[in-house]
Amino acid sequence: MGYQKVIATLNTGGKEHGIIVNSQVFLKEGEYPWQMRMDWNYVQNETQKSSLIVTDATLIHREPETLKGVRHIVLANEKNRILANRKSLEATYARASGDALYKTLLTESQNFSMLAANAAAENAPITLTELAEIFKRFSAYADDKRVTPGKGLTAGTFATTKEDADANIKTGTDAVARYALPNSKPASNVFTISPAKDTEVKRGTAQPANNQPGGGVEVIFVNGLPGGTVTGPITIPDK
Amino acid sequence: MTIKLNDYWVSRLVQMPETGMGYQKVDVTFKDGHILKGLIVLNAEDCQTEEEFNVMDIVDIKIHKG
Repeated sequence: MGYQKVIATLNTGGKEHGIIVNSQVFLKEGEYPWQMRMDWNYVQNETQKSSLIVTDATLIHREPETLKGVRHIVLANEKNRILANRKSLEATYARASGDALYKTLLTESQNFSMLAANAAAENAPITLTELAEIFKRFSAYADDKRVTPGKGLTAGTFATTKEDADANIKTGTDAVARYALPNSKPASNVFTISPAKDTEVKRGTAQPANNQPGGGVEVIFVNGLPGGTVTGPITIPDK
Repeated sequence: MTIKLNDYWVSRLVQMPETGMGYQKVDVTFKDGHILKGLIVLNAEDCQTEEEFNVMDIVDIKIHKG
């Protein structure tokens, strides 16, 4: 993924095994954070501080045999997003050339966009929260077990955005319908969640389930949250 | 009916991911080897089931796949 294994010769004359990432940065073997989710700005800032420069490099060849069996995956919503963009581009060309297919292509593009936006959070890629972003969690239980004693969240806990909650939920029964919950009791206890910036979440849309329509924004706190990030609950009317 | 899980299983379930806001869909395995699949557990403690069982007979609970 955007890297090459090399034996690098440095300006000190020494040779080191490692990887060159994005053709820009050399990381010595054993010293790289081996998640490519690392903050690229941080890496580049650190690069500016270093006086070590690669003067020569020998690529470490990877045998084709080691690549056999690699699986091709396309995340469902990413695939739909790509198809939406492709159809949109085709529609633009069709309109410019007076092609009657323009409207059909535009409709197809919109359909793919909708599919991409409607993917469940569980299947979504991990994204990061914004600064001061607020979330809400609706529960039928005031003693919500996902809220830790220190007022954090356990990993894999669901919530929704404050915007979705404010715009759509006035009662506990509203919450059951919009987030497709199996509760027989209304989810009338509302917790407010205030994570730090760049907390890992998955975002999606509640799919129809449990005889409920769904359609609400759902957010999963992939790794949970530390103490002091959850307040409440407050209660809203059941109906 | 709703069967209340004991503290042991509650503490296990809160460490597992939710299926949706406030609930988990699980497969419950019993001492005799039979498995109840796709049961809903609310708040990691209230197990919704049509088949009565003794919580002490549970040997494993896993998140339901699919």
